[in-house]
Amino acid sequence: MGFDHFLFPVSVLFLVLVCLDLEYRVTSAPICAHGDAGCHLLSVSDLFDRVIQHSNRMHSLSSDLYSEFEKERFLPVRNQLGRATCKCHTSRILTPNGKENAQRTDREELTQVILRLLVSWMNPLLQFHQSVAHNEELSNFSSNKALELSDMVHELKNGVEKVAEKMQLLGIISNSLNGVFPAEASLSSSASNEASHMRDYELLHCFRRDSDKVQNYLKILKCKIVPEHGC
Amino acid sequence: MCKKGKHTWKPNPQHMGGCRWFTKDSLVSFSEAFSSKPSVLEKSLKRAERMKEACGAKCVLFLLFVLTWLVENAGHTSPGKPVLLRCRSPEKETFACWWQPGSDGGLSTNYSLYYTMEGSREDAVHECPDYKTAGLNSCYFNKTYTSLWITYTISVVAQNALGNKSSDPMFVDVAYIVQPHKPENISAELRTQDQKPYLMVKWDPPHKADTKSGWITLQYEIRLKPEKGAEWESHYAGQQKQFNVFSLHPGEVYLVQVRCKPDHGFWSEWSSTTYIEIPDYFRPRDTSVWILIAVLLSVCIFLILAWTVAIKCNRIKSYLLPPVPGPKIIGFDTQLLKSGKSEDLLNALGCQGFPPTSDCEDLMVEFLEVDDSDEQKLVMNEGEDDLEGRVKSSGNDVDKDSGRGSCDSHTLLLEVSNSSTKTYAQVGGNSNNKGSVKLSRKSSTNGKLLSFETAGEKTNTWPTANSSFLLARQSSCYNISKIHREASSLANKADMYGNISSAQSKSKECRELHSTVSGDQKTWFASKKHIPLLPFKSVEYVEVQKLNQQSMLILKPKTEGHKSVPPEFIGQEYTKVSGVVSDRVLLLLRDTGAQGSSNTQEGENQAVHPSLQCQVGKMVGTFPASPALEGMQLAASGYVDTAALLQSF
Repeated sequence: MGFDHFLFPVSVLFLVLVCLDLEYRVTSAPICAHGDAGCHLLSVSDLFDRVIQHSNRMHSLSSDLYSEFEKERFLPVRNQLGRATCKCHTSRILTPNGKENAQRTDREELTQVILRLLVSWMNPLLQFHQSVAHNEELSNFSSNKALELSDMVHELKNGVEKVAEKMQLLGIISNSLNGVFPAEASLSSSASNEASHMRDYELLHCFRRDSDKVQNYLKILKCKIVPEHGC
Repeated sequence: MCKKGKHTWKPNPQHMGGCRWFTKDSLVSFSEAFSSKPSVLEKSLKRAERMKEACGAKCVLFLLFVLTWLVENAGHTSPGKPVLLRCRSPEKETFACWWQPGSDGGLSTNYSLYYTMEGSREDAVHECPDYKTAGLNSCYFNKTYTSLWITYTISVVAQNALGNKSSDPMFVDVAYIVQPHKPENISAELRTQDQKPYLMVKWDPPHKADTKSGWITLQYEIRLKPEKGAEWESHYAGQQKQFNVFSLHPGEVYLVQVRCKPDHGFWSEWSSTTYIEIPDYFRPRDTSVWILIAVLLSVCIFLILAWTVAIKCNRIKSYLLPPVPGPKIIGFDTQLLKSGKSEDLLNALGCQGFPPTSDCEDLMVEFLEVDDSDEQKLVMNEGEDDLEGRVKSSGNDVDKDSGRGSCDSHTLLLEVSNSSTKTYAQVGGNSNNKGSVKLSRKSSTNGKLLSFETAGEKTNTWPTANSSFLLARQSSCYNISKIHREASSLANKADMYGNISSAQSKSKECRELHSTVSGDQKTWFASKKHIPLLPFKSVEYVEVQKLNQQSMLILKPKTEGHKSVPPEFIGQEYTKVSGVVSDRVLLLLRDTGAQGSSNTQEGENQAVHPSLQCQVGKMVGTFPASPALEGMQLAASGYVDTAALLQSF
């Protein structure tokens, strides 16, 4: 009997605490708002590390998803002829195809290329996710990954934009980038229409390649601008 | 004719002159046809025979030829299908492909590789630019022919005389076929951290892989095993170019290998082995063993020492702590005391006739009361410093005869000297803040006890001072002894006096007396040492109150300046005891100030040293008269001046 008397207030207290806990929502706040005094601003090197890590994750995710789609499509032969005919909607974008080419490209252009690629994939991936979500054949795992991929592209694009801003601020690159973006937007919309016609695994194949390009270009850019750290 | 040998020929109706083979049975004689002209027939027959022979040869030859041809060309087919094994790029700038040839069909086959690139036109087929660099059955694409992120469609065609065969195509994107070369310059260095060895392995990436520009990012893996070990121990090292290995066994030779892999690609081959020997050093674990050994040794040594000590206990004790000699009086034999033969003992002491016999009882002093009062601070203040100094110095001296009574113990002395206002002393276990001293002597024929009792608040001593108490005690002690002795000497021989003269002997006798009187340790003896420390000038008097039944002389010190006579005592006078006669007689002097007065019978009893003045006040009126005391004149109240006794000492 004594225990029961004790139990009731404890449970009430517990409930109160739980409710209080729910009240607190975890929100993300930026480490540094603009102009905060005593705030440790990230250096360009740190920013580059972050975006490179992010692009790495994005690429590995796309690889996983692609191989999964291959399995699910039951393609017996890996190097099927059909793959060769895949035409990516981003093939229009001129990208350096070799080391020398990439190194010869100047920083602004390289940054532009990266951004262009990312922008052009934002919509197609979103559509892809929607198509996957509706597809009952595919597993939940694939659906979740597709959503994650779509988010990642957004985040990476924002990250690269920040890096570009930082570089422009520090005078590392010129301010000629700003004129690019409106054009990119229009490009991406037309490209996305094309992308919608692609089949899933073709789309993933293209995206995997483009994410690899992005990662590589970012690394080259980083080692050009801040070669001290891990190059 | 168509006859050759056994066979006969049959003329071929289709070909003139041709022959057909016939068996005998079915021979249609050609000769029948040619029978009109036997000579022509014969000629043609001969010709046919010749032709037949020639045909046979030809046929044979032809047949032979056909046969051989057939035999030769039985394995010759179009080449087998070649198989593309793999395409690899070591640094993501060039790449090479290898194939496996199929069967060659018995003919020399050559292989050619063709590729198309994605994005180019479909019919733009290119052939391999380099068949040599990468080895046999390979195709090498150098930098100009390598484009990344483009799918190559590669196939190999085997061609021989009979045909050609192409392999299945392979789709290659150079970015995903990277397999670097092995890491280079592997160095293993032995280091210690906290006395533990560890291996620091360093390496360089393959020289062709461009990690500096960020074109390739390599991850490394290291593996090592002891030389005689069976399995490798692998560690993933990430992108760093060094690694620390901690799990090492000293005294072994280790093999170390490293390999690398790009972000997405293939692992390289294991590098060449590096050998490193871990020296067999003094492991930290051994120090604990040494500590253990040291502890055990020390325990053993300790045990041995303890055993030795236990055995030689007594000897060691005697060496380290010399035994404290018991109280010993020269000439005094404790054994005799124990044996109970007091007479022998006393004879040995030189006290003859001691203890006094019963007829002297009435002469015995029963009590000696000594009061110490704070008021009287006399001369002792002067002599205090000296006293203290002497006390202290005396404290340093070591008396040979170390037997001491507690009345002259150091503690007693110091206590007395330290206290300024209170006068008390601990006496024999009785501690009182009251400083009165009661000297009591119970005299009986059996045992003479002189006991000190402290009672009362004030102690009047002669002289009164802080340290006077002891002095008083001493004096009283001395007095007691003196009195006692003198009392006893009345009954004893006179040669005791001889001893009185000397201070030394006096004190000794005092002591001796005390000792004879009682074996009790609680009685105090004035040590001869202290006696000389007391240079008293003042004179005080002790009033002999009464002599009780037990033959105790009760003395009460008289306060100075008073000289008031208690009402009960009348006709008191002061007398000095000049001597003791024949152990029975107390010679009293008439005049207090006079020394060596005209008292009678003092002559022969002038054992009193001139320096020594035994002044005994008038005895109490109750002092029983005895023939020995005839010569004494005692007042009702008798004062015994003990201060004078002390003067000479």
